[in-house]
Amino acid sequence: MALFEQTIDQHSDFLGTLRHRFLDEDRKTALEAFALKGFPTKQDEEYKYTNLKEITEKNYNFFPTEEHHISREQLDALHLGEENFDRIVFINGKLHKEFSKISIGNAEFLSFNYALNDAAHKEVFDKYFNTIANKDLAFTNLNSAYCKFGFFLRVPKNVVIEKPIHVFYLSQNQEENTFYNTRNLLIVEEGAKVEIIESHHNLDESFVLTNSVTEIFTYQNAKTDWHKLQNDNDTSYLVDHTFAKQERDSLTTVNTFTFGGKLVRNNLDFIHNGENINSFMNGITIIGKDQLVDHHTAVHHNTPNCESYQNYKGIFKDRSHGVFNGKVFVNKIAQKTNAYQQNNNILLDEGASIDTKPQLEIFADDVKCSHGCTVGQLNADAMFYLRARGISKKEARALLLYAFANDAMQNIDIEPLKVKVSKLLAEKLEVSMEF
Amino acid sequence: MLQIKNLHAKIEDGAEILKGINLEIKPGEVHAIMGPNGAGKSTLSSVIAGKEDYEVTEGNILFEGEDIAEDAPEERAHKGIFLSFQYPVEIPGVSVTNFIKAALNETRKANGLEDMGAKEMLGLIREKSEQLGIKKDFLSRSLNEGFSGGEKKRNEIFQMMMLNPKLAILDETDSGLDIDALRIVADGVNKFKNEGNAVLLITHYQRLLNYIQPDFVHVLADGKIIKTGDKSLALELEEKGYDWLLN
Repeated sequence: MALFEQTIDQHSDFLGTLRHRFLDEDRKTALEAFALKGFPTKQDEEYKYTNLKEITEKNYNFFPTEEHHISREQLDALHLGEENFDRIVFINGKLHKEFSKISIGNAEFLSFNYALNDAAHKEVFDKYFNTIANKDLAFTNLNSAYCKFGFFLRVPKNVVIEKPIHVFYLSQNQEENTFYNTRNLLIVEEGAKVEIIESHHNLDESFVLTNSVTEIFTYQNAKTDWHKLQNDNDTSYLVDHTFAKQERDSLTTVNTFTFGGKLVRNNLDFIHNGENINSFMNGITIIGKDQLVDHHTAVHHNTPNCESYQNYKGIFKDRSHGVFNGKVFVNKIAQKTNAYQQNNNILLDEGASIDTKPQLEIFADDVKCSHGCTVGQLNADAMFYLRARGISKKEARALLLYAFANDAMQNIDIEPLKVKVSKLLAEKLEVSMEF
Repeated sequence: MLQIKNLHAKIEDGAEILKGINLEIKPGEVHAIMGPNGAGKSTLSSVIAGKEDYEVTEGNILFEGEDIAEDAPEERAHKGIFLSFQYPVEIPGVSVTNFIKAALNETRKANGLEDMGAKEMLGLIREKSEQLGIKKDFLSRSLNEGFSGGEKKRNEIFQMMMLNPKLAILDETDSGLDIDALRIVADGVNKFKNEGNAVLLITHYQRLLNYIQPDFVHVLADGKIIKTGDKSLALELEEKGYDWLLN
């Protein structure tokens, strides 16, 4: 049985595992909507360059074994090296408090499942859950039908969480291919501030498919930073859809650093609902072998006087394939919009390829929108400069690629994360140098 | 140290630029190559340093008796050849310090030496940067990014002093420098200079030679050295231009 049939087949068993059932109807509706169209194919414009067949042809276990053999040392090895960061650790879908460390007391931080089961949260779920997620999308609907894992975080008015929170999703001790539907809900109230680092790790040889949906609400004068650190193994598939809605005078950043995973599809939607909003999207992708990484972004400029900045850098080795599709929609009332989009790519080997497509739909007449995409190779003069100083070809190449990618990490203000991204760059470029 | 014999070189798939150069540089000497625009001055320095855009079609380049024509640029650097660039490349995100550390340690590794210890490295960086009046915060800036013309050249000389090559080729190091910067750069070169190493200055103007005294001045025109003399030749060129030699 392929994944599509399984999703229909397993749903009543899945509902049976839940304690709180108030979402049952919504879940069934979502599944029906999914079943009607099924998984997107290459005929679908949004999946023209990304073939999902290798994902959808496989069978998956929808109910991961909870038991695991992950040691504290193993977990520490995944750290960014900053001991005092808060962290929340999910293993095989389940929150493990003994591995987690939460020092914040003035915010509501719960596992998604716990929040769902708690009657006190019904109201907040009614207000936020699945309100900005697009209900026409296959993976989002599938997630709504099956979501159980993930976290819920509400940062109350004027609460500033200084330390970043690293959220780990680990999968281990699974004998079969496993399917996770992860759902995160983040509400950052007026004047509040929070910074999240999210990473997924498959520690088995069997395949993991993670279908993750995140809804972020950033209120007036609030600031949200979300860093996705994607460096999973070769038997991992990730389909992520993050929806970020912003109110006036707010700032939201989503950075996506992709170094691993067999097939990764990142969807990112920014929805503006007030004036003077700033949105930042940065991405660095370095992949090789026959990996595929696809970034689809969309900024919905619905209101005047807002700004959005997209800066995506891609480096592709071997036979890897990159996709970038960046959409900017400017509503006719969204005057004085300033939207900037840049996607630059370097292909290092003959077999590597990139499909890049900027897409601007502008209905207002007093706006500044710019976009640019490039595909190229390394500058020969720069290579000569470095080599003439005694730096070998391989190291010179790595230094220049680091320089190329660097401006997409300018606005990371977490030093250990910057160091980690730099280290991963060196690792992927097979050099042992420190940048 | 450097012997160039009947060197012919062309751009890959292009015209011949060097048309039979002969040049010998011995340890302890300072040579200057002057000449009009388009004479092949920068091509000569690039060919000695091993730029792959050029193809040597005839002749030899011997460094300490060894033919280096087949060596990669980094191998030539490891043997002790340094080229100061007319247009140094900007590398955002890589600090001056980290870059020089990488360059120095790669050269040491190629010569069978261990990486330089952090303390020793820091001491050396401090010593050389102070000699050139380079401030501390300059060292943590991204390599050449947003540097003024003078800062770029000073940084090139700083790297030369750190790497301590046997042969330093300075390609138009004086261009874009005001008089104070020119003095500092020249002072750095004079401090670097000793009996065991050599300097090749490539320049369009005579003014650098007021500060760095050459033993030999060569005039390069249309891919050949057409005249060699002592430093008085440079003054003569300054006064008369190149036309009297070309006709």
